[in-house]
Amino acid sequence: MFTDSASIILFAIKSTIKLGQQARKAYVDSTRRREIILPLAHYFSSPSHFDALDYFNNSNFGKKYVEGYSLDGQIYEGSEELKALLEIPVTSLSEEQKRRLGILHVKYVNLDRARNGELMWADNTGINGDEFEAVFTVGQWRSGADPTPSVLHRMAGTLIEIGVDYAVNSPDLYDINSKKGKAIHSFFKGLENIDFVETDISELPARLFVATIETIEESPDLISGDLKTQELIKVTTGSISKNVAKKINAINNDRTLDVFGKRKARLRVQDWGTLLYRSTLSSGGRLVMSAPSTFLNTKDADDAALISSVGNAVLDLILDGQDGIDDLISREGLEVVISAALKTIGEHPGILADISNNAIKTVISELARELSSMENLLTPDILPEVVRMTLEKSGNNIELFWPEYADNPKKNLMLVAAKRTLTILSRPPEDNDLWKAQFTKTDLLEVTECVLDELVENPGWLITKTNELSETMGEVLSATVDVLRKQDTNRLNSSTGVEIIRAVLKTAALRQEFVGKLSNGKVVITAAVDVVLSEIFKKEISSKASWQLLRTEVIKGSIEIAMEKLLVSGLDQDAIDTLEGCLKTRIQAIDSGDTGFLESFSKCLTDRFSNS
Amino acid sequence: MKKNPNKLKRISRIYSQLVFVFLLIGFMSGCPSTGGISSINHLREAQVAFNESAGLENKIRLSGLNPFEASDMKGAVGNTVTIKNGYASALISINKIYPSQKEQLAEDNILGHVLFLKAVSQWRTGSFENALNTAKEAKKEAGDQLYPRDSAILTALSGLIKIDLAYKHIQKFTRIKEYIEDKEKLKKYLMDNSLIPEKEISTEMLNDVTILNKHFLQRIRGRLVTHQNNEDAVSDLNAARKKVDSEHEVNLYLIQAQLTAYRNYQVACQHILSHGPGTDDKALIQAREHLNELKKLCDYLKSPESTNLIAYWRDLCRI
Repeated sequence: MFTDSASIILFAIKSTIKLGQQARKAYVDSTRRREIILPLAHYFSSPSHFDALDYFNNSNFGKKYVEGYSLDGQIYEGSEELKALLEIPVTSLSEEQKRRLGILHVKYVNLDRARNGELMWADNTGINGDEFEAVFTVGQWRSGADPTPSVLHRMAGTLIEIGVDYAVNSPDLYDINSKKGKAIHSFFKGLENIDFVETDISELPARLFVATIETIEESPDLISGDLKTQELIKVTTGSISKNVAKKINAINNDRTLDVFGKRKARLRVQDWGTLLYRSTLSSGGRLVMSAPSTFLNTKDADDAALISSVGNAVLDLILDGQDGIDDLISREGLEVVISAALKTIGEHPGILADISNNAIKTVISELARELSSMENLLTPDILPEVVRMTLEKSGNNIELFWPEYADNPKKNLMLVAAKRTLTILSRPPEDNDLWKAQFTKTDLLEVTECVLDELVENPGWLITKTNELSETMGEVLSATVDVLRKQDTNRLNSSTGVEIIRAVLKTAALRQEFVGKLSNGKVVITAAVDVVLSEIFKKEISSKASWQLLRTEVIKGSIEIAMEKLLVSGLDQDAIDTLEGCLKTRIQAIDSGDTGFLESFSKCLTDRFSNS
Repeated sequence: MKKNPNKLKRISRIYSQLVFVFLLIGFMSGCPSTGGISSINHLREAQVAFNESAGLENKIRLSGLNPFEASDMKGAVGNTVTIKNGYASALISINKIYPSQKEQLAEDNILGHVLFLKAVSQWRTGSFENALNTAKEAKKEAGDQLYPRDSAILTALSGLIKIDLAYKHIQKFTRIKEYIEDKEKLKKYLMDNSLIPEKEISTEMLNDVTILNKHFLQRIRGRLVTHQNNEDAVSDLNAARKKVDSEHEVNLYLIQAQLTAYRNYQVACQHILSHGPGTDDKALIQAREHLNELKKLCDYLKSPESTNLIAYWRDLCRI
């Protein structure tokens, strides 16, 4: 095992030189053997009236159509028009007569061809040039006789050399009977069937090799050495390599990119491909152990097992999707996304059954688009966590929250709720707002998770009969944030704000009347919050009262008590007035020496609501 | 001994970053230890440009049209520009690496391919003499680096050029009737267009169009299809075929090139004799053999296009 940075540097230099040399040789090889389309020299490809005359005068070709012929016992008369045309000296033929000859030529050649079961001449008497491109596309060596080593062959030699160096420090890595040895063997099996011939894959195998070794070293518990783990490595290696190779090919053939652009794009593909490979291996290990048949069964000819489908979906999204999405997913965040997606899909493999990968891609890209459009969002890197929550919570009741994942993947109620929550929370304070604190990354994630949890636990009040997300949740959340914004205080930090929002959301689910409206148009529950906060933060209260009230636990406790006690009230304007009355009297009592505000406030509400 | 995961992670990260940085430096910038790849990238650009032009040219031609004659199809001018630009672009890319990086290319064993691509690009841009010189240079400078396909095509190049020239000459010759009344103009036309060399032009020929026709047809025949002195295109292409295994796919191309030689000879006969080659014409018999060889090779290679390809040449050339 490497134990110091100096060893690592030396090892990296040696590896790089070896890999660089072999990668370059492989690149040169592939260029030398590359197929070339060979152009034909100039020839008269358009048949003329001379050809028509030759055809009709040739007994092996069209003469029978002039003289008549018998076929399958049936006699066919010769064409009188043809006879007449053929009697005219060629130099005396008019343009119209030449044209007629051409038409009859095509007609009878097509008759011959139809009888032979061959394709017809096109109108212009030629053939479809596209069909024959393969005939003129010629490799350097005849099939099966290419003497140069394949790219993988070249790289494999070097990989072995590097591996030997590595093995000096970690000897069990290459013992075929060891767990690590089996894992490495699976890696090479995964690369075995990939056609890298025409792809400048450069250092991809080396990167994946190093990633495999590192994952084994970092997560020895995951590498159990059994067949499932070996299959995981093999399938992931093969599938992600193929996808990366395909993308590199597309870049190489992209005429809109110059050399530098192509180089940059190739590096980006390999960079993300390697990261996704690592994430899939490290996230997939435990999942594969728990449900090997689900994750490792291949679904199509490309060996796209479930375990690698997610990685490829994310790779497609990052590399082919909207611009800037990679800025939203930190490299660490990838593992969160992959892990959550695998877990959800593992529980509901049907998500990928119908329209490959689209459902997962849609969730990620929709959230990414939403986050990108939030100009004031300070922490766009929350995307992976929000994706995780959305997918995991969806998995709790897929039929309810994501019923049309195949046909309409955007209709994911968790996705809609998360987007709505983030939009409300990221709304910037307006000029007349008094409380201007911004929600932090943790705040956003906490509220989002709380909203999604509420959806899971109390779907009744948040989902309409038509299975849409109710507007109520957004209204309550928005109104609560509005109430917070109008508090003229600097004693309320964003995390207390989040606690208040959580209390509101949890309470709102308990009685439908909480989200009803008062005669002044205010939502009951937010009106209650407004009363509590306004009284606590009132400028006129004494310093003695402030001292006791403006503590986080008191603010939070006041809200919680208010919510709890209101449950047994009529949830109307009287209840709000009662709440206000209790607050005022108990705050005044502090000046008179009351030191237990929360207890007395609670008692006041209990007494008054039980008497009402 | 219990491993420290944080330390391990840190070391792994350092390693990854180092590998990435070193690979970037070593592989991409072309340091002496690994050699540069910019020359290879230029070569690959040339390949792509060449292939695009060749693919388009073949496609149009096989559709029964002439990619360089505007009267044949709408947009032919655009095609001509596209095709010629592609070949020119290939030459530009090659000129960036040859001869300036000749030694590196030779060290990479790819000089032969570079010269092959240069020669065929010159051929398709009409620089026939330069193309032949480049082919010679390739054999001289990189003979040991010429691999089967490239070697065969370079050998075939003289034959391919003869087919191109014959095509051009046949087209020009069909216009001699415009000059037939004026012997001086006729002689000048024949010489200016290299239809017949000055030393071969006789008074009899200028006075009797039948003699002129016969002489021209003999010249065309000699350039395209007879084995006299092995100077015809078909012989050049035969020599090229001998350079590779008989099963090599390049033979599909070379045999079809031989059929194009026959096709041009056939059209010359039609214009001069008012009919194609007679049934006893050795060129026709030879073309028939070539078609059979093409069919056998297609069958051997299990080429899915074989039936239609054979029918195409059979019906175009009536062989």
